[in-house]
Amino acid sequence: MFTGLMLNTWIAASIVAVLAGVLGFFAVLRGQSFAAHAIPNGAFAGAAGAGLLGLNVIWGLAVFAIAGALGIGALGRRARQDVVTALVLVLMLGTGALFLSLSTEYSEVTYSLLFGEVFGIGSNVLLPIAALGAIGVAVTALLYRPLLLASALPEVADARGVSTRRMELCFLIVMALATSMTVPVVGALLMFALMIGPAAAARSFTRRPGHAIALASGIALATVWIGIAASYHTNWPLGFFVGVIAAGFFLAGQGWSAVRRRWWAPRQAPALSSAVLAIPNGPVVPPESHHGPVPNNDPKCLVNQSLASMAAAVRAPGSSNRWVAPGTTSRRFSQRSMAWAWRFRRSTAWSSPPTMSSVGAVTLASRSPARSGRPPRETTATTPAPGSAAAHSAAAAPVLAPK
Amino acid sequence: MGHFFSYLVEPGLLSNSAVRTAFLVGTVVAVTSGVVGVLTVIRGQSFAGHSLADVATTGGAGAFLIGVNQFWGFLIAGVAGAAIMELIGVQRRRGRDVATGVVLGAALGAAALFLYLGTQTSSTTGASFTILFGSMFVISPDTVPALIASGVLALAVVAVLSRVLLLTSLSPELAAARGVPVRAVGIAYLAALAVAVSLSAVVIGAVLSTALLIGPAATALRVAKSPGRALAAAALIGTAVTWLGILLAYDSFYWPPHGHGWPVSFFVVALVVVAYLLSYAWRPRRGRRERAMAAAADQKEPACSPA
Repeated sequence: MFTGLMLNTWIAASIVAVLAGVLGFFAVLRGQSFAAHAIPNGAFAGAAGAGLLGLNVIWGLAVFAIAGALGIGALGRRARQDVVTALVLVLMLGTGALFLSLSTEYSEVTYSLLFGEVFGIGSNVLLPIAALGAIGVAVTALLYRPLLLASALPEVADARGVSTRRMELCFLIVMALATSMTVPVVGALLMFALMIGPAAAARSFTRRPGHAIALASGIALATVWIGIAASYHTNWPLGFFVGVIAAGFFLAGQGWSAVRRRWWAPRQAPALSSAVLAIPNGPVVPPESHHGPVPNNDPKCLVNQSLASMAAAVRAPGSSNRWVAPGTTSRRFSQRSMAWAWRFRRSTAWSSPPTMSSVGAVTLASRSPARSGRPPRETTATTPAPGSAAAHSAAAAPVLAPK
Repeated sequence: MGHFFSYLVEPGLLSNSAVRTAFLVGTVVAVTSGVVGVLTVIRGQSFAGHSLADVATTGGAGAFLIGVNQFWGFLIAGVAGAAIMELIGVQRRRGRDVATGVVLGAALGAAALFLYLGTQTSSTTGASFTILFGSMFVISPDTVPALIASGVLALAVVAVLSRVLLLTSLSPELAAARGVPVRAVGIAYLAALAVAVSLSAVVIGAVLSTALLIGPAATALRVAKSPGRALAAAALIGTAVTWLGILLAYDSFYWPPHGHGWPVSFFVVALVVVAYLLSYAWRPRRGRRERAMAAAADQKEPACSPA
């Protein structure tokens, strides 16, 4: 099982799995599963075209994958991305169907390109795969922080001068490069399963981005290794095992997060947003602040919170202001982190107590006071002593007062 | 003029029974996909639509393995895939893409297995090509009634639910507030989507059925001025594209390489994309209401998710 050609298989599949884990994390975080599906799938047409012209398959794959990435990136600016992705994908696949029908030896090629032919990897293919894999991981490592910021909080990224468009294009091109090397190994259709399943599973086990990437790579490695061993023994296609095992890991992750929600809700690790937003070391300048300027002597956590709430606030007239930046700050979480900030206030610099205004909800002073005698749950501000009339009629007033 | 016409439309086109079947079924498929596609684009579920097509591939491969007519395999797998996606959580916008992706990955793995086993046992080559890329000219006449019936069924579901579907698509919160069972409507819609997708999977292939689903609908939504007209326009564009595709494919027997037709799927897809790109050139005068609708359709993340 570990000799000769099989050794090549193990090495190539391991490289592919690590890269799939790294890229998959970002694909899931950015909500670009469809692009992750479309680029490898469409690149398959390039392989068919290269076969028709008698070129090396890798070149066809690379050209079509990069063309697809650029097409999605360019057209996605003017319309909804999922529609554009679908159209780019079908255009490439249609071209692929044409190439296949024009060439003579289509059946076997189709099957092995779509579903992978992992057991026939020669030593000469190993070097390009390793090189492209190293390039992919290196570029991702180089762009790690801006890419993470642009993925998790696009608005904040724009405000801080990180171009989300350029980041998206970079990411798509890295994915295209990775694709052109992995399609001959695991196949167009299964590269996708290897990217999404492990990354989605990893995200439900941990919330720290670094850990999640490592875990995703680990799960992808486990998936591929189990798959190869099972495939070697049963002689069934590797793609089947990869798809099913990846789905199994995803379900395990879902079960785990359900269990954690049920029993361990209070002990939650800091979420992604605080990790991302803690990056800047200098004073943070908030983007077109409509909550008033944020004083610089506040503890970092409060600055970050108000930034995050600004990023999550919807300014469209008539909207309910309940939209939450995907994968980042939920209202539940911001309360919890406010509680932490309050607990550590002695050890940090001076700060004003967290109030409703810093979670994004603003009520006009001219509004009538809340009817309930009980102060809103969000508050940690002191309330008047019981017995005074204010406790029954105007309990909300100190909470909503401007800083 | 007569000479030109005979150059454009090959003589004997309509006397060929395979071509007649292709025209008939192609029209049904184009109309169904166009109508369901408009809702798919409005709901932002293009990925689900494409995934259902690929999931249907699994059914097609399974049907090929056990020797049943492919259409039933496509249909059953499509509906089952829709149910599983709904179960895992397609209704939540944030987890939807990932849930769809995982179902898709698992289904593709199963398709790989079925195709492998199928080619092992029956030694028929080209099965994977037919299942994935389809061919309109080899539809067996026995399945035509079933194809038409399921197309009409999907259209009926959409017609009965049209107002409710539009409301839940554009503003789920408003629909919930008005007492619409959003989830049940979503399931009914996904079932209709699965049927439409299996239909077009038979006609232009599982992998390419996304073209007929998304392309005409996206074009129509850019051009039309109201949801009703968008539905009609999508059906119209889809039909036109399909007919033209069949025509060109029939003509292409005389193109290089000689004696070998180009696939219908390629022509249909190419025409769909051309139509979509042309819609960028269309600049109609727009009133206030239409602009609001276009904004709703073009919005990146429609409405807002329940927190």
